[in-house]
Amino acid sequence: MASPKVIVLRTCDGETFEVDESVVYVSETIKNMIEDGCGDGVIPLPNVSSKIFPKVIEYCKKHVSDFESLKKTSNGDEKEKDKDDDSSKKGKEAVPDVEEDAEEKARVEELKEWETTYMDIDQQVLFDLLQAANYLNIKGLLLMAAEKAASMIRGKTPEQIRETFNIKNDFTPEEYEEVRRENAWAFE
Amino acid sequence: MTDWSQLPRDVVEVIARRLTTYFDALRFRAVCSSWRSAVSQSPHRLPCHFPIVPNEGFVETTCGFYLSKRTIYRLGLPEDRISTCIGSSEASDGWLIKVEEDVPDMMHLLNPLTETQIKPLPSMFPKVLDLSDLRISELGQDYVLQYINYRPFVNSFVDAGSLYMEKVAFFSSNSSLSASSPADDNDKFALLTIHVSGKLAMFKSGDEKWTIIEDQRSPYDDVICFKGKFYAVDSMGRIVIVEPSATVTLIASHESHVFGGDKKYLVESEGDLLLVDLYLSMDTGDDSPFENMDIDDDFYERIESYIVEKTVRFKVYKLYEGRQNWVELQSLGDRLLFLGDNCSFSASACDFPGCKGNRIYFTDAFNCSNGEDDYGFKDVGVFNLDDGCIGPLASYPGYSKLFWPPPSWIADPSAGTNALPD
Repeated sequence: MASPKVIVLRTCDGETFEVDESVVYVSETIKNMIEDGCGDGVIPLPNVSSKIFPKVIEYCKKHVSDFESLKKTSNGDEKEKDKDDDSSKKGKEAVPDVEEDAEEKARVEELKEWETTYMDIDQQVLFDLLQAANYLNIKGLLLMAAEKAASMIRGKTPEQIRETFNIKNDFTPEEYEEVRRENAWAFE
Repeated sequence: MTDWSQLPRDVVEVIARRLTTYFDALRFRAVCSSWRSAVSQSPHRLPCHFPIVPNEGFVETTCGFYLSKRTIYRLGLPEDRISTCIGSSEASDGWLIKVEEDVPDMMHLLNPLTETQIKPLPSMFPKVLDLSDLRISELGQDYVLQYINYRPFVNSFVDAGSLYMEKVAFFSSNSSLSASSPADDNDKFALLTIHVSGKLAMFKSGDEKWTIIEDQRSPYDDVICFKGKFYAVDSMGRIVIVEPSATVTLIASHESHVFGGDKKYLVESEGDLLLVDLYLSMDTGDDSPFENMDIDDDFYERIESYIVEKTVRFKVYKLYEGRQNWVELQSLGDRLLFLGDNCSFSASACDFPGCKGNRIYFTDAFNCSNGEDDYGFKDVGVFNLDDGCIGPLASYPGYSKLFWPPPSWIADPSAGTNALPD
């Protein structure tokens, strides 16, 4: 097997990073740039800082290796296996199926734990992560970060939400009047 | 310094889509100008006119139905305000209410269990209640069909009556979308209710008339929309799922368990479907009045007032997924069940300090009151699963405060400590 290609990327503050091609392919934006022929030089990322880039790469690495491990069976044979494809299971015997289910369960559990640790971040890092995931077009990461933000919003009053995220109440008097009306019940 | 109000609109939309309740989406819009413009307010309107052709045997004289939706909420103070309300014993109280939006932006306050509207509201009650500083959780909804009779000189809904006072189960394909995406005319909905004959009746968006479902062994007692599917239970305890095609699938037959009660309810609690069986008994009260009674003209009138059907107890059963039978629950734990005239819902006792769990609140016509002075709360009874005790709400002052009167912080949520002025 040829050695994996390494891609060089430069963040907005001038730092360069060398990352395996399969890892950066998790980003649709970078993938498109490579397919357009930019993979041999340095790929510029003007909207991503060197502070947040390693965090993004951590996600990409985790989600590339997951896909790789699915390609191997418990027998060690190289077999094509698709997560959503149940037909490959039908041809097998009962015992390996149970083993596979247990393996699958353990994998899902481990991923959940990893995600919990990964998303244990403050709102400043979360902000940068949302921006980066959006710009780099990494759908899974964007959804995960959005869910984290939503969990910090659910059940809170508007004032509590502003406090959590350090947001100023910037409504015009007219807008604010509308907001008050929306958030009130008038009783007969 | 991060400025969350400067987040790109795309990202704001992705976050907003993860908020699935009406109030979370509403509050999101109330944070700042840029977040507000990224999320449109869901119209939150129900289809209000069903142009139904009179269905034979259904209702002959109507020219349409009006569906009204009522929502049950628990209101409370947010945690950070509770801790600052030192000295106020009501700070952590929860208030259980049912509201109906009549004309746009005008709310009716209703007794959560009966059909009674709470009016007139006490003079202390705020005419406009600011919700932005309160914790609100939705506990359930109920739907009522009101038929509209054509009368040339009446052109409002004021004269509409209720369709046999039976419960309507409602399903909308929009309910699976986030609350921040607007409903559109393409949303499908379906209704299931119990016809006066005891059979089920279904109506789907696009239908021209109701479908009466012929499958029936004994009259149906209750319907519910549970996890996106319609369930119905009959008076024998037979439970079925009703598909949109109006086909009926048996889930658990009454043969697997003999139900001794007189009325069945279906209610959801913490993701489980529960069946509650109500037991009535013919009761003549503690003293038998018959021994010394004169047989005179008034005798038969007086007899009627002595012999009534009284609720004596409940049994609760849980349907385990994958199993085809009901398992009796000995205890509800912290949960409270509420079985009303046209609605059923559940809540956690820890949200209502002063109330203990493992209780069932129900409407009991036994204590028939006029309902005028007390907003129908005289008709509410409480059953304790711990010891089987049962009695009217008035016997348990600690339990009635979750309904009425409202906690003092309703009058002025922005203040720290205060009580309603006498």
